[in-house]
Amino acid sequence: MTDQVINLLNVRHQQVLELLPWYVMDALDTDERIMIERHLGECDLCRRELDWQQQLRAAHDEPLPDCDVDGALSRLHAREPELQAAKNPSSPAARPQRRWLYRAMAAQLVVIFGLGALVMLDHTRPLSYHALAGSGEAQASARLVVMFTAQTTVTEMRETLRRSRARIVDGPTVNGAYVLAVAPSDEKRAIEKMRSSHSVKLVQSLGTDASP
Amino acid sequence: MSQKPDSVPRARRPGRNASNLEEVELIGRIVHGDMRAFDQLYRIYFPRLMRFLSRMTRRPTMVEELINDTMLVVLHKAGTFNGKAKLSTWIFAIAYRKALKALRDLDEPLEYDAREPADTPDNGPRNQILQQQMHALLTRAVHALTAEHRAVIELTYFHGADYREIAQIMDCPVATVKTRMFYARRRLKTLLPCGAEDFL
Repeated sequence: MTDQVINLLNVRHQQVLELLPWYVMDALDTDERIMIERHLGECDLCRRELDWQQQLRAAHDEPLPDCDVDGALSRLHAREPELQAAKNPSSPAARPQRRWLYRAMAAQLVVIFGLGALVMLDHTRPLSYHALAGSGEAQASARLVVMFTAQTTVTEMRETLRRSRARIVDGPTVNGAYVLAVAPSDEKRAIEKMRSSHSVKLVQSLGTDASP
Repeated sequence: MSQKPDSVPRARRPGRNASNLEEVELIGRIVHGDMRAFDQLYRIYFPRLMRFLSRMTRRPTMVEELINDTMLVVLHKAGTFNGKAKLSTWIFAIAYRKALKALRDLDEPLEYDAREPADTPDNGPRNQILQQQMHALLTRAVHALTAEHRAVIELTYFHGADYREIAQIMDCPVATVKTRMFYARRRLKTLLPCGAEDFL
């Protein structure tokens, strides 16, 4: 019988210890609060833990951080295609998106038929081969030079490149710099992304390069 | 000894239910394509998500992108919000999953590793430690916890979420929330200098 009572007391003590963080936050049901308050009257250990919990709560009681909500919201609006896609398809706002989609599909069909016709007309021309690294067609791309901090891990470097939509085309140089290629339309965004990354020590545009 | 909480915590302050109602109304307008309502909801949640995601990920540079990813899901899935949970619980659950995924992509440990070495700060004379410094120590100690433990601590003490809400946000049983909190508290004590908790 005594053992049973001791076990019950231990269970209750454990329950109270578990719930104390939400007790100090006033985030419990009435029954739970009553149970805790009864137990606190007879348990020194839980009273000490309660004091520590109240200090912990006080340490977290600080104002929300100042932040650039307008800037962040405007950058979200800049992700217009995603916003458009997220809108309710039945809403009027989504209709221009659909029209754009139909136009794009029509344009794709024209291009496919056009390419097919070219292939048919050009079948007499001898076949030519190109190395993967050197397709004959020049594609303009913006070049950036970037230096990562010494602590940057490969994973962080990969993540930074992914976010900036950039790829390494040269480097590392003797100074540890890399040359990156990005689409000209992405250059500004890539520089901003790089500058906001704690892994990047320096980033600078080298202009546009027409070579592949 | 003070047994009762000495003030009403942030999440339980009067007017909280009223603001929750306003937020639910905003969601209703968002479902019908009202982008002004979306902007309004974004402004309401940005500081809270900023705080939560900064503390959880410890990577300030990725926080804005995580908030925007979260709010895009809110916009995209507004029609699926059924009101069973509070709107804040639903939005924080989305943010939590986004943060976990981002941390996984960075190979960040999410769960407690018993082999993790204790980063115990130096002990110092008790009466020379100022309260402000102790807050900094606490912040550092919280940073040393795993992402899941940080999330439980942050949702409880700063955002005032109860353990059932936290279970919904973290998509786990209530018992898991209590266990995570228990180990997070124990680990916090080992990370703080001896007697430091008395000065917080």
